[in-house]
Amino acid sequence: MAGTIALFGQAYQVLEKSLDLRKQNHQYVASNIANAQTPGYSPSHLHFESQLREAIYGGGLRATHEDHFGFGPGQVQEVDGDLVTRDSPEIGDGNSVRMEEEMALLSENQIKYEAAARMLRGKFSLMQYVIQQGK
Amino acid sequence: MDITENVAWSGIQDLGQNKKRLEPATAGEVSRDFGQALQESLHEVDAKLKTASMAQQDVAAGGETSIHEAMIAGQKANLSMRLALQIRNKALEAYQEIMRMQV
Amino acid sequence: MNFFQAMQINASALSAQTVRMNALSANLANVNTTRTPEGGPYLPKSVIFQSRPDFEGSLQQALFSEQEGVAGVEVSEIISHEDAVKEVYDPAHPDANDQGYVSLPDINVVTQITDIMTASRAYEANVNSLKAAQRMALKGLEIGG
Repeated sequence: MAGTIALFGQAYQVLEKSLDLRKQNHQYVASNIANAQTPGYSPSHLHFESQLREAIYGGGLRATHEDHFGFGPGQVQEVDGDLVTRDSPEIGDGNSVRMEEEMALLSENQIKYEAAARMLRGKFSLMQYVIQQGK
Repeated sequence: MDITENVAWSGIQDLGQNKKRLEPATAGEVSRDFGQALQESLHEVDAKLKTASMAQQDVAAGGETSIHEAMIAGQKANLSMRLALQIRNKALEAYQEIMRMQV
Repeated sequence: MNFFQAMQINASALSAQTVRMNALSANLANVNTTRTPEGGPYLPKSVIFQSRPDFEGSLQQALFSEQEGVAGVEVSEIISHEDAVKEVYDPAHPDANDQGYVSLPDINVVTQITDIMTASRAYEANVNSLKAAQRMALKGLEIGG
């Protein structure tokens, strides 16, 4: 064959990658919630959305932007996010978990995970339908 | 004047410009028009699929697109694709049936 | 490595918060306890938490150093506050000493109740996190058609 048929395009990669990253992020959010009252604990979060957007839309025009991560189009697979840890405050028991923030993140992360899963399912099911030629 | 001519003349008076109404279509014209229509609808399906794909990626990457936007775009693409496929199947069936006719 | 690790983390917090709740309830119940099996008034208890780096129980995971930022929680110790005793003048009390003072636990009921509320909300938050993980896992399953 002259070239392989690209059966699964970028959208599949993006959706799958977002599922991976959100699952990872959930672990951090769960840890933060579990340790909301642990003295000296510093919450961590996975920041990946900007990187992922860059990989989708390309650095291109934003080459000089300070948030440029160096991801270009076609590099969706390499996006792995940055783990950001908040410092401990000097006061109190040194715990810097903000419960309201964590709960909001929990919710947002979950909804976006489920949305991506649902979209992926829709894509696969349409592809199945087409392959079966609608019969 | 019989009734078809009456209709034709009123057609001229009402619309004036539509050439296709006045002349009977040739077989070649019909197949060309149908082919065109099919192509156009395929382009549309393709466009809808692309729109849906971009919307989905944007949602997954935490962009501006809202989830319902992406879901609606996905369903539109889905349904147009399924419709196009069904039309293609029906056209194929019709063709096969005609080919089976004994001349 | 599904959502199970995250669920275990939240489960560990449920256990820890339960221990804390028990201690707080015991404190509240014993606000006026002057006699204990050890002798002397009841001593208020505090439960200290510490984060517990989570191994999934697989050897491979244990060999590599713990994942940064991923940790459950456990009770590191339960402290009895030996100096949390207050002397109250009450000569009529059966346990009053010669000067008429009774040794009672120095427990601030308001603080204890506030802590109970905090523990209760923390418990709920961990339950929510558990449920979220469960739902996500099930949604992921649906991709299979």
